[in-house]
Amino acid sequence: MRILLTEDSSPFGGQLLDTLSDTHQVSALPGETELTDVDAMGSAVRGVDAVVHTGVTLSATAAGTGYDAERAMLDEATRGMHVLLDAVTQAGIRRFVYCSTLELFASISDDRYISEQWRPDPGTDMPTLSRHLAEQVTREFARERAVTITILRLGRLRGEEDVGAGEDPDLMWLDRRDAAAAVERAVHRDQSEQLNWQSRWTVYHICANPPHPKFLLDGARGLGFEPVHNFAAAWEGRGA
Amino acid sequence: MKRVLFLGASGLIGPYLVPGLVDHYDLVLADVKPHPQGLDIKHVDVRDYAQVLEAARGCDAIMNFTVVREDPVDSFQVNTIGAWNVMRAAVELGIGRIIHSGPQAVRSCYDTDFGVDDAPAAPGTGHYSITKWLSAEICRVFSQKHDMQTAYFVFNGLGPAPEAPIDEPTETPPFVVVWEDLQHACRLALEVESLPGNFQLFNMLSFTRPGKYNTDKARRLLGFEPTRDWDDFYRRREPSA
Repeated sequence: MRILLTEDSSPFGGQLLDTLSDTHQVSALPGETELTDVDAMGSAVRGVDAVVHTGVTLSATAAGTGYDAERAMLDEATRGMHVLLDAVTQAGIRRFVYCSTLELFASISDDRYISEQWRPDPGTDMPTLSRHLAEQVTREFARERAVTITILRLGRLRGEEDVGAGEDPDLMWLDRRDAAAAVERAVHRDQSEQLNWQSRWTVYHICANPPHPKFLLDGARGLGFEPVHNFAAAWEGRGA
Repeated sequence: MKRVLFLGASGLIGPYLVPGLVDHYDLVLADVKPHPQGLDIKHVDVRDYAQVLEAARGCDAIMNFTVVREDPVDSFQVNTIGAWNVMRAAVELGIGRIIHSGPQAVRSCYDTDFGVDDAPAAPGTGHYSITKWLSAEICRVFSQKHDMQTAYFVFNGLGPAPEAPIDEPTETPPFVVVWEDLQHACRLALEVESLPGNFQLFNMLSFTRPGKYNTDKARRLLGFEPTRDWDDFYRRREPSA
């Protein structure tokens, strides 16, 4: 399968490139590309079978911090997503994966079991709000067009080996390799011919599986996802 | 008297709302173009945060009736980023009350249903409807996280009230609000103590007899009633002998 990544310069983008390249032909948008550029997106998706949006907003990074960075992030998440998905669907590409975030549920206390049936509760911080709004844009494209959109709400990306001794474990941790494995599963989903749009837009929560997890993985297991790196050493001796 | 910043005061809606608000509020009229009747307008481009912030300083409420419809860039800049600028300025200045406009198109997927009121939005991918829907989500999140009260009005057609019974066979408008009723709704929303969840989206229409869309929620939470029974103007007349 020919897969286009929206970036490969972040640690996660790099991990995705490595993992997916084992079995697929993978490329990434050049670093200077803006998702809001209609012509660039139209060219970039030509000849591709699937597109993976890593969720990393490079325009915001380029804008630095403060208001300008937040505005760039909002613009890329909304208008950029609209431009990208318009290009994807006009090119007849049937598979699109968006890496969103479990931070949408960070405000909900840890004494709850959260599934995909829970309503997201984003704050007004732009990294989280923009992901929520981007999800809204993807949903409308799945509603109206023959494309399969898979939303992976990823936990906080870590490397299991990088956890320091004595570091408090986090119910939202997710090893980058497991995150990439989830994306590999997701690119195979194709419900494009389903007449009911709800089959074309599906959300999965993706994180490690600690004892008594906050985020239930039953949905993700339906995708074939099973985390390998569960930060067992950090959880040892702790009741979650 | 509450001071209210009215963004979009020179647009397709603003000039028709001012007459019903000007006696009740100290209005700061703002837009990027002159007012059609020559009223004083503060130049505020909602895309520019500094301008929004400055205009809102000292205000108790903001009414945002700015809109760009199908332009693929400015619909996002004005409708979505503009809404974010408004909510951000309100937080920064401690303004706790917002009225925001949006299109009925966020519910247009229900056009074949009946009794539609408090239904989830389904805006589709059109620039106008999706950018306004994103603005509604921005308003909702900001209102809930910063304890602000936001009434989000959705409407389709707006216009003058009929002055006399309609003489010719004419369909009763299914989703149209007359100016007097929208003025009334704005006054109610500026005065209501609080809204459930700090944010509510309200259908705004004056002719409810067709039963496709209704205003039950606006009636329940704002005390909204059409200022007259406008449906009476659309009664079928017996042919004269």
